[in-house]
Amino acid sequence: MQVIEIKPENLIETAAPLKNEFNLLISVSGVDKLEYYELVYHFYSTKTHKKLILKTKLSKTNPEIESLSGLYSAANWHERETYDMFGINFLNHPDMRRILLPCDWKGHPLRKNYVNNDERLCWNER
Amino acid sequence: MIKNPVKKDMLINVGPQHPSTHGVLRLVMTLEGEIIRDTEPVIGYLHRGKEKLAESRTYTRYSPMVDRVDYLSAFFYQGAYCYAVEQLAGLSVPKRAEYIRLITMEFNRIASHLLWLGSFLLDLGATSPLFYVFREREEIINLLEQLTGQRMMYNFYTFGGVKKDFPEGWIAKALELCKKMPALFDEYEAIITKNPIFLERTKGIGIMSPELAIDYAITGANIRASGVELDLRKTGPYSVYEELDFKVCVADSGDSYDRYMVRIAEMRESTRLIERAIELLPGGIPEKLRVKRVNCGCDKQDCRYCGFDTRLAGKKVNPVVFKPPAGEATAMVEAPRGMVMCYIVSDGSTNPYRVKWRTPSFSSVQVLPELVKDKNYSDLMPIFGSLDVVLPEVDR
Repeated sequence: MQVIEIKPENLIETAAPLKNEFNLLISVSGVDKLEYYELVYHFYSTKTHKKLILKTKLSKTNPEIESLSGLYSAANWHERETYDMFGINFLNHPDMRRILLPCDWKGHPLRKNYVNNDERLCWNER
Repeated sequence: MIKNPVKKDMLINVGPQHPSTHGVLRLVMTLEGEIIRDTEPVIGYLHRGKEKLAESRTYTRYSPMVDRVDYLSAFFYQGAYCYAVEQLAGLSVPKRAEYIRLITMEFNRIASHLLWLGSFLLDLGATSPLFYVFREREEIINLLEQLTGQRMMYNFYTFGGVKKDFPEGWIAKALELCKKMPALFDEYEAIITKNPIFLERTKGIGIMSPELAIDYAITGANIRASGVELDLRKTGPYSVYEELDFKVCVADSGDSYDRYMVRIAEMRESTRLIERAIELLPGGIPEKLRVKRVNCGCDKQDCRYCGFDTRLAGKKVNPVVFKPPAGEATAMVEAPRGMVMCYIVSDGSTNPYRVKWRTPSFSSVQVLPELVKDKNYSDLMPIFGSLDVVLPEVDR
């Protein structure tokens, strides 16, 4: 499987020509690497049946990146999920809201420093 | 939400507790009369945090949880997880274990498609097919219960193999069932395929063009019904599928009816695959079913876990010391609902650093607003049912 590492500002320029071959956006996953966030895009080609991984690093202080939902409609929900779990902000996304967790949830659970200390969830304490 | 109050648009909630949503899905719909103008799926009611749970568990302790991602096709999720971990740890699976995996997966695929068939027709108002499919599904599930001891959440695969060999007489029973199955599929087709009410409600309804399907990354039977030949069993072979000959079932119009036809054809193909796999099943003693030496990495002769004596005694893999090296792995598996991807990042400790699940139903729900736009409200269930969505899998 081919892996390409890019800078976050080059995402659209890299993904747009790739779309001719890699036409399926399989998933967008975030990884909290302690010093930075890593975004991993999995692509699949229905023509040549190859797989491709795009990786990019985002800073911890201000994690934001251009949205791919203009190129792939599939990116819409996958990016919402990544926002929900990691708090990564996707710019120019049509509908940047939480998707899996309730809309009033505090924090982003898949961050490594996440602590569930929401006082409204006191019934969870045993 | 309501764009034109003058024309008396109506905002209604379908779900979360709705009998035809196969779980807990809420659709916020704007209707104009009976025409659906806008749909907004709201998901997350069954979110159990499977990805977060992986962080606090060892690789072995996480493996039973994997089954619960999708309760109807547990083997595929176990398979994806095991293939990813094996890729990380560099384990190779014995041939016979791969064949056992293939046979169980295909049985699981038939069982899953059968349940889909029953619930889909129940959505359309036909009650009797549900009883037919449960009759056959019961036989498959009994068979798998004899093998694994569980009816739905099997927890049967381990890293580097499977937990048990087939019990005595299992293969004969499986073959007998495979022989019986095509006649039963004929039975369903006799009551469904040419049924005028069914044709009226599904033919030409919910047409998904190949471009739309690719744009939304729809996989599995849904994209094959639109004429895109995408089957990981054929194109990205993961088990021993390349040794077996089977055809990818494709239809071309992409409506609800075609999705039904593709799944029926797939069930027939699966029975053929199982029969062929049983023919080719390599022999071997049960001890060979599993890689015994999952070491702690030191590979020294006097080590407690990798030493020669341990190998001879054939002790089971100690879950505490199972530490794949740091790295990452992606495994993709063709589940009944589409492409399942498991992406694991390991930091060299006993717990996975990050597990990402890509589930096919997530995309299928996402495309629903496009499919039902400007359609009659009564077409909602034939379209949604035919996509074969399982909600626990969407929310994970």
